[in-house]
Amino acid sequence: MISKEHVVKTAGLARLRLTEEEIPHFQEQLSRVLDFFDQMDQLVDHLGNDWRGDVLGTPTPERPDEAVTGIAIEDVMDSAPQKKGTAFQVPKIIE
Amino acid sequence: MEELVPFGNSASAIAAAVSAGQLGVEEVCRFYADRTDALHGQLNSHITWDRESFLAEGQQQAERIREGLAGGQQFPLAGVPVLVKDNICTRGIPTTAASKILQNFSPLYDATVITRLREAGAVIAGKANMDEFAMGSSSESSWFGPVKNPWDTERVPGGSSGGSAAAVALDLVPVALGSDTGGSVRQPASFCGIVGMKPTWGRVSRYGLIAYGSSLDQIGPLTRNISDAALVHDVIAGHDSRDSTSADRPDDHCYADLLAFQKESGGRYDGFTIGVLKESYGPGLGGGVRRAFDQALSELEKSGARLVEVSIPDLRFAIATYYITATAEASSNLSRFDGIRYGYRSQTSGPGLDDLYLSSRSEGFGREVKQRIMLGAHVLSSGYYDAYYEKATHARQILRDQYAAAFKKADLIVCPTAPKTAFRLGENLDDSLSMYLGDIFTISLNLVGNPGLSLPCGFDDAGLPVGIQFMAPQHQESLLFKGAYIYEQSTKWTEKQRPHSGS
Repeated sequence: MISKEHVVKTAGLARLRLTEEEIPHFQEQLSRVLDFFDQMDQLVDHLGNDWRGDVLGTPTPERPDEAVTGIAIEDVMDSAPQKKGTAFQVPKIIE
Repeated sequence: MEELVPFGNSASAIAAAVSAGQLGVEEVCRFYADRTDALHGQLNSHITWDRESFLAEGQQQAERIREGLAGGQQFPLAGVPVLVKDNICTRGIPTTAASKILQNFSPLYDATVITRLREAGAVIAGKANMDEFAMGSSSESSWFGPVKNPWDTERVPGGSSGGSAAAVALDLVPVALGSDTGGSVRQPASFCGIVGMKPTWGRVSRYGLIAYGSSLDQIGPLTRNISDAALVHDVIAGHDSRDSTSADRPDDHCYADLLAFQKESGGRYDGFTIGVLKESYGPGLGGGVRRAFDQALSELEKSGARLVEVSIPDLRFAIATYYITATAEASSNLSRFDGIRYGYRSQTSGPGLDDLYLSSRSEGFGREVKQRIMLGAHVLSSGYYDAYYEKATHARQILRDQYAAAFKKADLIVCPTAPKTAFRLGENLDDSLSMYLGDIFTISLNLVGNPGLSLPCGFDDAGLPVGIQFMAPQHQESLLFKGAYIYEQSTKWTEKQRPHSGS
């Protein structure tokens, strides 16, 4: 079973803040899933440690370098929860 | 068969009648609008349903089609209403991914699949309910409440494209789009007794699909029969310069191939070798599924197929491999939801930018989404990467090699789509691991990138539909449809029985 501290630390990595009720819930659920992941140790891996690969092996073609009209800034700003003119408003970053 | 839909009940029949001038687009739209009005509430299958804008779009499409036909243009989906999973962007129509964090989000552009559907004459018929961010196998994790299975409204429709599958099963639309990251089109198709198809990874553009696991995600059709799936597949498939991961290869003509094949084959599998996946008969296989699947195998043989046993010896690692890979990708993909540029923003956060991120994300994401991005953050974190993510990429290559070897022995491979039929609402809600285990037969195809589809193959003792999955080598969609078509025509399971609700 992973510790409560570890759950809170992992939540922090994912930029999440858990409630007091959520911590034991995720502690149990994550522990069970991570225990299940441990079966990966039984995989017989003939590829070796040096193997690296693009798993899907599909080429990713580039598109021609042509100018196209994008989305108007005013329309983009319409989706913003808080804005000033054409700027997204955020809390103060520098004290 | 009960003729529920007066004009033939299939996309191809509607498109043919509209193109021949025998049927008006408005008439088609009114029929499906009435059905959706009356029944979508029972299933909670829709997140956005707006009758008036649907009918207005139908009218616009009717004019476009009339003018186009006069100019010699063709519309493979003329007048066909299509319900779209709510993680596919539709300009001006809310697109929520069934999450509170996007509850008021209205995209500024259409996904490429939407543009292609409209060009083909289709009419967008609302947005379908689903698991939040497509994370789930039951469509219960939606911020908008769970979807219900039309065969038994106490049960789940499968997921994550549950709203799409339930609506097609109850004839609220002839066609729906879903997305399939680990089986999210095929498994709900199986639970709801319809056809659901996942193309080869990269065959269909994901431009405008809200990303979950980018190396796994693929958009696919849910339909009532195989020919409709082929028809819709051809419309949405193809290279798109806006998605550099979409395969740059010649267009498929699966539907035309299928029509030609109908005439040539005489409904026989002669010359076909079908591999039966040995690992189908694992300990988790339900009795009803086993009986229906065994029956299907003898039907395949009766229709002239040569059956051989094939094995993916490391299939048992597929679930862990998938949940390591998908959650790692999800933790990175979902980091874009920050409460700044669009979507939900917390009104109660403390001072500072970091607190705004924390509060917006913690209030905006549901439980299963939080769990998966935490799993992803964990498997990618320092000290754990080699044990999880690195190993999963190796397992993925090993599975890929094993599938390639299996396809040397067989043209197509079959297995049950899911080990069990639709479970009860709430049954697996507090046990995510047991929900994950039900994905065993679908997720390996996402890991290796191959195409597959589910179609009905009978019922269990409770009268719930069972699905059989056909799998094909990469970019062999045409072969996949042909193989499944013979089985469909020899058994006609798609037509034998219909859900009870509302009928």
